[in-house]
Amino acid sequence: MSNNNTTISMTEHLSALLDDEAGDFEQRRVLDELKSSKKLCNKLSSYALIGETMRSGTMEKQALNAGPSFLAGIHEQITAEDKYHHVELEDKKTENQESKSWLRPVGGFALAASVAAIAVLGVQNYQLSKGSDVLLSTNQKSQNDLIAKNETPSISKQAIASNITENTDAEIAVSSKEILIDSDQYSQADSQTRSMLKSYVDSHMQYASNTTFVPSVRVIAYADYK
Amino acid sequence: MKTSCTRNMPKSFKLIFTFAFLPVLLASPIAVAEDSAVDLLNRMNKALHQLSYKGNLAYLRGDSLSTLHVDHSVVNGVATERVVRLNEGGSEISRELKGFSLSSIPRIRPEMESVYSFDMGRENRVANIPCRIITARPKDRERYLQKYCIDSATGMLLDYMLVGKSHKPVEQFMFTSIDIRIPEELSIENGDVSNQAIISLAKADTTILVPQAQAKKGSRQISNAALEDGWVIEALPAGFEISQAPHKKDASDDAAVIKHYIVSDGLSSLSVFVSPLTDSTPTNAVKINSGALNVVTQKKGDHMITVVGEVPEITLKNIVKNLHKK
Repeated sequence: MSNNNTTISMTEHLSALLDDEAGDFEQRRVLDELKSSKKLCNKLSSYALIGETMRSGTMEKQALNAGPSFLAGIHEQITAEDKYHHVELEDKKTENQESKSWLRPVGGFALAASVAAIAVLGVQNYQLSKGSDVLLSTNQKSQNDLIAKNETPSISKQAIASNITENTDAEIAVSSKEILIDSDQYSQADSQTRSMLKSYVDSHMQYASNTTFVPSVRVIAYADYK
Repeated sequence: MKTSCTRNMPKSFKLIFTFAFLPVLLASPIAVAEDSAVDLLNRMNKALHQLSYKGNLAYLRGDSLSTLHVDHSVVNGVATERVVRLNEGGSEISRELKGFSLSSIPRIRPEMESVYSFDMGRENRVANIPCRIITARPKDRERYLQKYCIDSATGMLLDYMLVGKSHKPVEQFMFTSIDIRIPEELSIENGDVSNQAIISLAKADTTILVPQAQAKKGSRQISNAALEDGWVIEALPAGFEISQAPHKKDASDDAAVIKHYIVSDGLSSLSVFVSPLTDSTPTNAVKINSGALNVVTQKKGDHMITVVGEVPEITLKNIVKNLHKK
């Protein structure tokens, strides 16, 4: 496991080196590793090639820049290539294209349906929460009522209320989308779950968190975690 | 002293200014020096408490972008801070925001270098101020990469982000405009702003934020292996240590006490809540993500385990998996 971690880490260092974000120490480390690791050398070549391609714009543009002799070389290579796999490859290609041809609209429909379902469920959940006095909504009064009802002594009402109101509808949509896309199984969060999670997030921010970021999370639905 | 005052000068004046004040600049604690990444981070930490600054910043969480106005001033050693959200779902009303404070970024301790490599990156420019990129790169997958861009002249943090495994920022803020002022009374001898003063003033006025680092003093260090009531976290990720926060009472059952453990490496932290199951305890296994923050809950025996933290979801899942009652 540690080897795996080292490899992952080293490729990240390599990526940082190519992006000119690596420090002196990292640069030395990556260069030392490059001396001994062929795998890393190959990675470097791939990253460099990808980088060059990105910087050069489209392949078409690159080909134009390369000049006619380069293109002629490629044409020669293609002409000289053996053709005994040609038919087989073409069949496979056709089959793939066929499968793609019906998969694409179905997949597209499935994607559209799932996005629509997410949107509908998200809206339903949000509307449910709006309509009920025990659910959290943008209505400040019902939030305060809810907090009072739950009698959470460890959290100040003001802190919870401000955390709740800090979130915009956009954030709600994003968070619920993220959650729902992540898993097929999801549930609508009831008021107790929401209240419990909010109090935990609040305690975490008070005693543990080291980041400067805004301490808020709005729970509408959650992914079932098995 | 206003550091941005030289920026609008003609080049020749800048040169004269630089030579005339070079000895003064070198003697000042705010002067540019050849710092290591860790030195610069610690200078930034100090500057975030000591400097007065006012500016607007863009704040990105996941796919959601908002703008904030931050006003931090230090007068006679007393720091005040006010954060206002400038956009609110199309509303024109600005809203004061609680819980956001730049001064909550922790100091870098030597032991953190066993789990992070602190690297000095290239020069960048944020809010039209040149700044140096510093990266706290984790040596494993258990925490986020943290990237800072620090004004080398003042130590002010101008850009900060947590980067996830896909190399994209999961949460970030960046100043779009900033006015930095170094308080006149600032010197090496009496440079530290009185934290006591910050807290006392914060109690008197709700617009002033208590730095979170100060509010977190309620926790105490405990053994890394054994928690209370026979709970044990096996295979804690490298560099993490456990401390205990004050117990919480269950909102629905006063008799039920929720144990709160903090697992932190100094830069990244997570909270483990162990609560006994009551009739009203939700027992659903949950996972939630909001920007850098993740939440995972799972029932274990007659207890509910909830883990919250600004670490990757996999870290939380591993903690839940490795938490056992013996």
